[in-house]
Amino acid sequence: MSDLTIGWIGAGRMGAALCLRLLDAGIDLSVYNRTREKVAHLGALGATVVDTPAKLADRDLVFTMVADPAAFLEVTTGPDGLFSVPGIAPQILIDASTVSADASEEVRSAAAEQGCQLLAAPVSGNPEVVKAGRLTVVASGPVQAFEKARPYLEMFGKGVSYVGEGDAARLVKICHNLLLGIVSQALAETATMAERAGVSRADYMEFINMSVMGSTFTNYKTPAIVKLDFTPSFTGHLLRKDFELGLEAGRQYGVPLPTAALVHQMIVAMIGRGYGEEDFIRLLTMEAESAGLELSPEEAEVSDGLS
Amino acid sequence: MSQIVRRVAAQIGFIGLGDMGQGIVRRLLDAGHQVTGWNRTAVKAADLMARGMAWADTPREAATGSEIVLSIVTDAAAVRAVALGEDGVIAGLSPDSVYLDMSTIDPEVSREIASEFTAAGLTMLDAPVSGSPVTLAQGTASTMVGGDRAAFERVESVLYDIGSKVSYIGDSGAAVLMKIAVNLTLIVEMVAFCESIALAEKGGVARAVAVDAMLKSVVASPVMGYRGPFILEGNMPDKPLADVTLQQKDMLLALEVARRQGTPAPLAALSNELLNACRGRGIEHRDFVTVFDVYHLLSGMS
Repeated sequence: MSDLTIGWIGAGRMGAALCLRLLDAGIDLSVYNRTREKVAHLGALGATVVDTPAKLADRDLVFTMVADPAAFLEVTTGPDGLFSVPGIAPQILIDASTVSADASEEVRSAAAEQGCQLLAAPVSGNPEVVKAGRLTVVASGPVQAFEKARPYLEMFGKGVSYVGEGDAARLVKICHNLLLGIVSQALAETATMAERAGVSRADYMEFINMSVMGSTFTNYKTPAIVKLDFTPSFTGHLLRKDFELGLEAGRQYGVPLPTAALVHQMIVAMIGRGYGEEDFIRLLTMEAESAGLELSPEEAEVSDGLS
Repeated sequence: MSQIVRRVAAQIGFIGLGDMGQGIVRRLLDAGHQVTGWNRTAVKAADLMARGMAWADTPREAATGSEIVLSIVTDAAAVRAVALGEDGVIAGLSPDSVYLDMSTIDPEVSREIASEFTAAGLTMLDAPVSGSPVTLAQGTASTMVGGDRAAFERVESVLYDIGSKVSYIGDSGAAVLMKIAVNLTLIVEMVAFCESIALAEKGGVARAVAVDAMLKSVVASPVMGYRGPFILEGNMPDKPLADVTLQQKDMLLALEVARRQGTPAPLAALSNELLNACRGRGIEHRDFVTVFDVYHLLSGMS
């Protein structure tokens, strides 16, 4: 199975966590990161660390996980980019960042010129979820490229879903993040009401997590909800951006999204109040304030369901 | 500088002869003003030229020699195109004349364009008009003005020839912001009207009776008066006052301003999604009160 050589571009917290899983599986891995020092630990664990994305051109399969469209274009079509070596390019490029439809399109055609196929493969989860082996991936692109890449995508965690050609996975990830926001607002509303009625958030979340409504997500957000820890895993600003992409898609497709539209307004209010850089689960205190309820951190020991 | 006095014919340049533009020019001609008009496509000018409007080949030419220049076009890009550049209003306007843009665009863009006029020693005001071709013809359209107050006072009398209600709102951009706020209510109000009629109809009140009762009630408004009856059987006009897509453009502006300011606008957001349902059902070419059809469907009446 591990007969392909793998390259990795962009090993931030999330990327590094995924690289560790590939190394654990004994994969031949070379890594490029803009700040080289940040991937020294991957080198110590057996990865080859390279200076430019171009040095990954001879790998069979290369992953990108970068922050924005500009970075994605730079590491692929830029001067020292993956496609800057004439005649040498990977068979498959897998973009896990899926930052913009336009950038994907540009890179897809640059890749095609070098005989390389592009897969879109956004992920659901954070580094803690990766460590727990619970990450999921949604992929789209040419089906034969996907079949080749599948064993490696499966190493990331719990599973990979193939949803079709082109950029379809990007829309699915946007749908996923709409659901993330909607569920968070629903948790904020119901936890606030339960607390107003005298139920602690720890007790409420314990019950929800055991119930049919419990999920990996409700579990791992439980400590933040109980302890009021708003250290960002995903900021309000980022969630708002995904909601805007989702609402725009709804308008284009003629699909009404009333719940998403309302939650978007709650996120707008949260950002208007100055909480945009905090974790989006801040929605909880916004809701409590609207109800005239002052929340304080609870002492109870709670699990994130991941360890 | 001299007041451009009411009932004295003014030399007016006019840019953008869509439905609203044509209605405004008609009122200006009827009030005795000299109008020189420009439109991207000349065909829309024929009727107005027969009534005495002169034709200009560029926005610059429409502005040259005019005491007042008005424009009303579709979006921010179109305003930039007619206002700025070699053939734009800015190239023909004289320093003691006043340019008023009546288009509904993002207030930030309006301020940017106005500051280019200021930098050139010229005056631009934002002057959106609230109303439809119907209210214009009745003479009851309302104009709101943002920008230099002294310039507003000089052109005020001509604005009264367009419609009977004229208000100074505040600094540059304030009037388009207000127009966007007004249109937010307009859309939410008409969606709520459809919701109410569906409620009454499903409960057994004949639709025509329900509409009539609404229009006689305290919630009746001018827009409800002329648009509400569209939802009666066979009453939907072939040519909408504003179709779903056009009306939604204003709602998207409102949501964008709300987003930027951090002002939640949940009712606007929900109404906008009901307009999206019209798109999904393929009825977005109708006047936006066709949202009633969505309620009719959701409540199992069709």
